[in-house]
Amino acid sequence: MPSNKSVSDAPIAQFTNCRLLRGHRLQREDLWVREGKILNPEKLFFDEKGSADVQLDCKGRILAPGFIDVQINGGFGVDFSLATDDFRSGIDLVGQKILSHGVTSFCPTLVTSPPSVYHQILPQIDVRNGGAHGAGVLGAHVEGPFISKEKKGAHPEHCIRTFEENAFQDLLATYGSLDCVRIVTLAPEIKGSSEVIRELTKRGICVSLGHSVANLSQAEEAVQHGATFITHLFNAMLPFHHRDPGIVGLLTSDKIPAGRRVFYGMISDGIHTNPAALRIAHRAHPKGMVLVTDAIAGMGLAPGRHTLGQQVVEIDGLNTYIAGTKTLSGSVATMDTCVRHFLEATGCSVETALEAASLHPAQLLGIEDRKGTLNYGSDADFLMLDDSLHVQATYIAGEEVWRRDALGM
Amino acid sequence: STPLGCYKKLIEYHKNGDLSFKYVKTFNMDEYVGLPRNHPESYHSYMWNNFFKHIDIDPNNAHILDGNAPDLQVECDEFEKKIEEAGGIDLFVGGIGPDGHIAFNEPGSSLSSRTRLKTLAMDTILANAKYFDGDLSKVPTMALTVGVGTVMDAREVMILITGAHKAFALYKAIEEGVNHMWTVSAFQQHPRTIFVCDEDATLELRVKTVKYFKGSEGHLVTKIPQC
Repeated sequence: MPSNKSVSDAPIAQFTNCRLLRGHRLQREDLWVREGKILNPEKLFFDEKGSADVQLDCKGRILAPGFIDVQINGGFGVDFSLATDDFRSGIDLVGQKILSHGVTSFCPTLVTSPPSVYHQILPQIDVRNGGAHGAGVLGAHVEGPFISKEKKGAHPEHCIRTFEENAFQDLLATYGSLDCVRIVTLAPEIKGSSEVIRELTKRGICVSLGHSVANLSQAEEAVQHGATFITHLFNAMLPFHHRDPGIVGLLTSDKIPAGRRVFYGMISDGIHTNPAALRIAHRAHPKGMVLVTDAIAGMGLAPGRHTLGQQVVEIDGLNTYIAGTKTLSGSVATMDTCVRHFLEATGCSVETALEAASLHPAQLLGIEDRKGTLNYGSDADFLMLDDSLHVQATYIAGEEVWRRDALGM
Repeated sequence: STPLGCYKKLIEYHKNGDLSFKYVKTFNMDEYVGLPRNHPESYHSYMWNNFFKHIDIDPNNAHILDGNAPDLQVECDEFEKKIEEAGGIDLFVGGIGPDGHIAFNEPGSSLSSRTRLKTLAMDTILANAKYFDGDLSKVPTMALTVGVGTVMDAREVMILITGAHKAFALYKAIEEGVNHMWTVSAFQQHPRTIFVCDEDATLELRVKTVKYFKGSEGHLVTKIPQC
């Protein structure tokens, strides 16, 4: 029988015969959902004398929190750094397509661009909940332009900048508005960055270090001012050196303020990072691992040439290079591929692999009270996966928004 | 935790489609006072995790005393009323303590007692310590419990006694007289009581008693598989 009418009329769904990820372990428990949130069935039973309206048999599959991609530059022909008339429909398209990769929330990412591009694009990025229309938008990730020319990677050199006298005002003028900005990647060795990091952190914006030649002390100082993330670890930064580990040294630094954790993004597509390096990072600091795709417009499309902001890139299998060079530029891997590769390369547990794509990004953004877990009260954004972590179905706010054909439930 | 094996079997029968609890009403015999309802050691948690969540019982039919009720005696009186309204208990199932208590009717409890607040005996608190990280200060000292009289009103009583540590209590319960220091002995005066025991629980009984109930060809008592 349904919920106690004096508490709530809404229907209750009970997902049975599954293994769900909770408390860092896969447990044989049923998942209960009501009004888009995960419900505590014991409370329902004793307080409301309620029970499920509908039961769904998961046939022994894994239920995990939906993946959160905090670095994705586009996909399926859409480039988030290209200001077009129908930019919003580009966000919609990508948001809808990535449901099949298990992503239920994402941060559209813009590479280094001229101010005019930020002024046109950022107001068109709406922070919004996900649903049948697509994954939720948590806010924009602006990667650049305040980065190092030496470590530009695929970013256009002519748009890379240092800060003017009044650093934070300069940043505001460059982006136009910070309303929808969730993450800023910058190089901390740039003069004025400390002030900027403090101001951004004060506004609840996550500061990430990347595309930088900072040494370890500069990186530690940035963390002390509020930086909490590293953009695609190892790529576009100084390599680890045993007398100056650079940004990579943050993984084992003893200068991190108490109670804070430094997270690091990893493109675990098997190309951007050698599996041995992936393992070193994971073993050094397992709780900081955040899987990202850094996917570009060509993701989901056939091999060939595509745009990435102001550049042209070439896709060949899983590799993407600046056209005519050997410089890596973003990836075409999907989030579920990254999770499976991470699992295989590190030999970690299924729980660890899943948390690197869900719990950890939620913790990074300070939203783990409602995303990234299957705890009672959390948003019911979750995935049904088989044992080899292939996504079988995707749910947002308790509603099925994607399923693999011939699922049979 | 004595009935745990029984619950597992019942759940198995339910999952096989052989048993439904749709029309079953239950009344738990006790609950700790002052322990939050969702504390892992409360009987609410125990019943939910080990039984209720696996079966199709109607939540309105599952009754457990509320150890955090604003007026504990009213809570107990209401419980007695609900049992009566449900038509009385058909079958009471429970274990006993090493001190021979039934529910939390500790040694010295009135044999005509009803549902009420009881202070727990030191033996009980010590026995429970292992569920509270061995920290005696964390163990509840009071509980709400059905009375001996309440259980005597049930139409059938089934007491489960397993293990050598319960053997002396079993001896006191059936080979000595009815005595409020061993409250389970009250069931000597109930018309339909079964004591289900394993071999170890009979270690303190007279050989003659055990032989009588085992029977020469087992015709008095059927050997019951280990729960």
